[in-house]
Amino acid sequence: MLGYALRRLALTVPVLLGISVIVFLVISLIPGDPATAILGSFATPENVERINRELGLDQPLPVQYLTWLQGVLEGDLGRSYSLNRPVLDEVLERFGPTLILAAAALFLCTVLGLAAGVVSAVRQYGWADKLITLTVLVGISTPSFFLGIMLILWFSVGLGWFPTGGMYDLFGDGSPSELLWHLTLPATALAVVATGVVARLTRSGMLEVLRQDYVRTARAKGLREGRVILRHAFVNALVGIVPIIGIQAGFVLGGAVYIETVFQWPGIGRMLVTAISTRDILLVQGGVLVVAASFVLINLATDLIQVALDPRLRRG
Amino acid sequence: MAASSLPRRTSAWARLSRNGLAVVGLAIVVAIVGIALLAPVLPLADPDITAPANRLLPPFSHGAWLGTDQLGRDMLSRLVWGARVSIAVGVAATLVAAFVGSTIGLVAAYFGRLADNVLMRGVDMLMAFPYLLLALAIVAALGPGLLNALLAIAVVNIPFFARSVRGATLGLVQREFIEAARLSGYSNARIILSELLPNVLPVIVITMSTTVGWMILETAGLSFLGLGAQPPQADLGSMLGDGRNLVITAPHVSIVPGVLILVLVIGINLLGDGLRDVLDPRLKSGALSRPVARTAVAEGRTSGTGDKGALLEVRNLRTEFHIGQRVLKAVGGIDFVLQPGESLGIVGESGSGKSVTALSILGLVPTPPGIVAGGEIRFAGRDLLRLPMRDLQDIRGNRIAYIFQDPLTTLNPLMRVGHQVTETLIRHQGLGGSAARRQAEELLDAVGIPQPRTKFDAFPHELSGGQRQRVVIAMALANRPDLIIADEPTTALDVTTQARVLALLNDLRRQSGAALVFITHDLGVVSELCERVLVMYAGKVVESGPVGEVFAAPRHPYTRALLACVPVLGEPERALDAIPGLPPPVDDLPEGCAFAPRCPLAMAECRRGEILLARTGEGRRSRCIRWMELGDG
Amino acid sequence: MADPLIEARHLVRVFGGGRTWWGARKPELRAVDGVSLAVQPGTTLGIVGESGCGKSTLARMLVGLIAPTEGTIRLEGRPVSKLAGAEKRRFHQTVQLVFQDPIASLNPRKTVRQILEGPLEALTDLDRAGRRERVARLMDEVGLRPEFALRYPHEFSGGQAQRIGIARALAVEPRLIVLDEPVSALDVSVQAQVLGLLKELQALRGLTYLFISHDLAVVEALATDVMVMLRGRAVEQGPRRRVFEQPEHDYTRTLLAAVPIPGRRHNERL
Repeated sequence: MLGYALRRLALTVPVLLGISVIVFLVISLIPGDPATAILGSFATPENVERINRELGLDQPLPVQYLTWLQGVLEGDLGRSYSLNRPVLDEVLERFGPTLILAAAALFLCTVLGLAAGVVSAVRQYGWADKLITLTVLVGISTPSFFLGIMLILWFSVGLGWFPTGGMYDLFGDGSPSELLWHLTLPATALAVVATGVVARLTRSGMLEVLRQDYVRTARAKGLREGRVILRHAFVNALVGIVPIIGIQAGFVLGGAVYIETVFQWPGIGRMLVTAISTRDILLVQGGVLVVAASFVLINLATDLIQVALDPRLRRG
Repeated sequence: MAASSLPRRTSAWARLSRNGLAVVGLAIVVAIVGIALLAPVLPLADPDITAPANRLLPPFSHGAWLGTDQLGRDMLSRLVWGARVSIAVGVAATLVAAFVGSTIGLVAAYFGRLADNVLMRGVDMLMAFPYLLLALAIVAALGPGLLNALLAIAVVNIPFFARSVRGATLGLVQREFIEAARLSGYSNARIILSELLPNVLPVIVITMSTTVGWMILETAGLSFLGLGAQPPQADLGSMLGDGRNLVITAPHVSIVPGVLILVLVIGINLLGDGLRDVLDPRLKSGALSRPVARTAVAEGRTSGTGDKGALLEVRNLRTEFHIGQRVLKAVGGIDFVLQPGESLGIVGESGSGKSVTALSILGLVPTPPGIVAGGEIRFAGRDLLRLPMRDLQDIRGNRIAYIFQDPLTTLNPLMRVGHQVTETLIRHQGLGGSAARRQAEELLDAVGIPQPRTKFDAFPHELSGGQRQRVVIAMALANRPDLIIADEPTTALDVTTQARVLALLNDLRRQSGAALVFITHDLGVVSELCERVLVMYAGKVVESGPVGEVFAAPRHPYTRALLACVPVLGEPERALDAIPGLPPPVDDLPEGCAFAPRCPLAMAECRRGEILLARTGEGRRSRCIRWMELGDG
Repeated sequence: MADPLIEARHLVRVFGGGRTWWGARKPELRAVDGVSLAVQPGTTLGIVGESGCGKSTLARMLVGLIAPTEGTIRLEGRPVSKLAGAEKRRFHQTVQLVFQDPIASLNPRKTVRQILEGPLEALTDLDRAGRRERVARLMDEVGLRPEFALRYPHEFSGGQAQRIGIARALAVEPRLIVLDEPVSALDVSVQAQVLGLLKELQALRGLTYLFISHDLAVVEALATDVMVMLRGRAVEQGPRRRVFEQPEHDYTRTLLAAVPIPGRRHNERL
């Protein structure tokens, strides 16, 4: 197991490098002249040349990449021209709130999704199954940005139970309970689709596993149904569900872009949207890179959990 | 359960139209897409004409059913035109992603090696980004705009197609018909297009139907953020984005497009689920319904009387499978009595009902679709079919134990084999952890597993097939059962391993004095292990008696024919007389004797009424009216 | 003695092996490890062995589906090297394979006629009418009713599907047919039908068979010569009667002793 973990950890290095190449290429293949785009009406020839030199755009592409990569490794992601501060500072500041939001949503979707899926499978075709299946269908069809707006309309504007946005009150004490109060609606909006997906795949995974011969063996041994379902069926189903939860982490990190915009959450998603519309390329680059890297680590974690569950995967 | 392997072909359309929810989905999609397509000819106001005087009219206003937006434009008209754009972009993105992704998947899986490595590592790279983030990065690079959003969404969806098509193709490439195509001299291109593509098409369609909904949502999302459709062009997402700031004063401006997206995507997903159910072969056969803890039993009462000394008494057992309109009578009325310590073999070909008989005893026939339609199963005087669940569970694995066919699939792959043995000791003997472990190690030792203390902690995949079956036998013997039911326990094993496992099973059973019901298709194995034999055909016992006598002088034409068509080692010159024809399908049994259509002795009486089991000698019975003509030997 | 139809010298097939890009050795499996054989025209060589002994890998090398790592194959006296173009065409016209799983060896989305016409299109010069006629004759020979031509594989039982598989192998009128466990997926009563058909076809067309099976009784009933395989090697080879009646190798004796026989108890034989 430890050997596998080390090998798997080593494999993240090429993935991280690949990600850096893609991020670098996507941004540097921007059609047109970035300097002109950045400067807009201030694009005098001298200014354009200065920006190009600052960005290193007068160099060949591989050199640009290596220079950029070296900077990245030293913690230098460049300077955001629109905010006039180092990209790294801004990205790190914004990353925390996104992580809190995404973690909350991931927690919700895992717990609720697994529970709903198991109940649904065990009570297949019963009323609980029908209710869950229908709810899940609506859930996975809901645009999270629309749901966010509706939640604000009902629970914040209408009922006044929750704040309409932000992470803390303007003059609040910054306590965890205050954070939780602000977190509830956005985390819920963000978790709905992912919960639906997890519930669906848990249901079908459980149905698949419940038909297996070893479940019949467990029943033939006279074990009580609770143990058959949890110890024999669920653990086996979980091996297939863990990577799905990993994928949901990706959806949640990406979907945070919408939710942060709707709820004015001071996270990295909202920063990216602003950066794209102001064409602050280095800020986009830095934000995407940091979020993608964190997703690689999440995938590493789900992989290791999966292998811990299933000894057959430890070889190779 | 080969009985269910004769599917009736119904058209995909007919199956889809029987699914109520899918029809609702189809109706929603057809209605919305139809209206969107007809937008140019519908009597709608111009969606782009602003009328500041009429701004933010509420729904149901005169001349504007759905009200107007912040610039006084007609919401209904904008909705229809916006839906048109959203659907077009979503569908176009789906087609692009499906084409590129499927091509990658097919090529990677078929050629394997380098092509597979290069293509799939690229796909993995795309998957290493959080889904939407990559789309954002692409839009950031290309600049906001509907076409760029389409491209971005298509690119991030390519991995889903590439992965599912590759997975499906890998399963096919190993299938023998691809090898057959190579031997037929086909070129690679022809194999991909004519052998593989038609078989993965359902997978592509399923993936399209599940992703098109997301793609519409995600393009709407990009427009919502202001990165997709640019004014004056509008899609549903940008309308929602425009309305967001007015949500308190004029909620209809955002609610109307939001609800339309929701309804459209619900419709698409309902339809997609229906399509998947129709196209996915595993779902088609109803395979995805999970068996419940115990076979369903039709209403019926216990007669209350029986053979006092018998260990197991089966009376007129009928087990059926109800699949759609069809009723498969897998077991059509079986009787037998087993005395303590006796060994009984049940032989027959696939579909004869021998395994279903064995599984019926402890209610392990999968329900749905299985149901015990009638009869009694009395074990030590108690009717197992009508026993409360908890009492039945106390007998399972304790007084009656099973050994199943394939030791790899019958052991839980994630549990150490030792724990699978201790589990049953703890359950039935109430042993503590360490006592159970000690006893399990003794059991593993008794079944001939070397180094039982180390092997206790092994996982099933770390053992050989023979060792796995020894573990299963240890599990079965753990609580010193009165009856062991073995269902083809050595069919998956090689002959030399089979010989050793059978010898072990025989020795241990004799030592413990347990009775044995042994299910097999192998007449030789029955001869080695059993005292008495039941020969089954089409769900009924056709002959029973002491093994030696039955095989030496069969008194049913089927038994005789079965013995004549098996090659026997050491008798290569003996002519093999094949039985003409096939066994009848168990949902369409002929009247009279089920074997009559293939029987050389059949006459008119054989095809009329019910043929009963007749006594043909000491402890022997035959379901044939002409048994006397078969002679002895 | 006539020249052998097919002859193989010291065939070896290794799976896996080599090194990873950081230099670690990958596990290596010698599935077939130095097997030589020769089959005379019109005879049947039976190959027996337990699972994993390499008999299926050997079959796939002999029909050209996988290339040997070492060793040579000679067909009708000519060496078989890299298969391409006209040589590949002639090879497939001479050697065909019948598969173990009759259903899996048929494309589920093609009709029986399309399946049987496939090799005729790719490997012969027959025109449309000629192919139709050949398919009709083939179906008659293997005992399939003419109206089956337009049906799909899933509508057939295992025995009927195997008849289709045999017809496909026969379509281009090959001289050698390699049969890889052709009856092990079938019920005994159907197995006897297929074995009868194979014997009949051999007598009718003078076919040469290479019959692979784990079932010793089936091989004994069909083969003229026998080869016993264990862990990739041929441990015993010879005329059928000699191998079955006077086995020389311990493993052959173990195999023979392990086979249960109807009407006989194990203890009586020991």
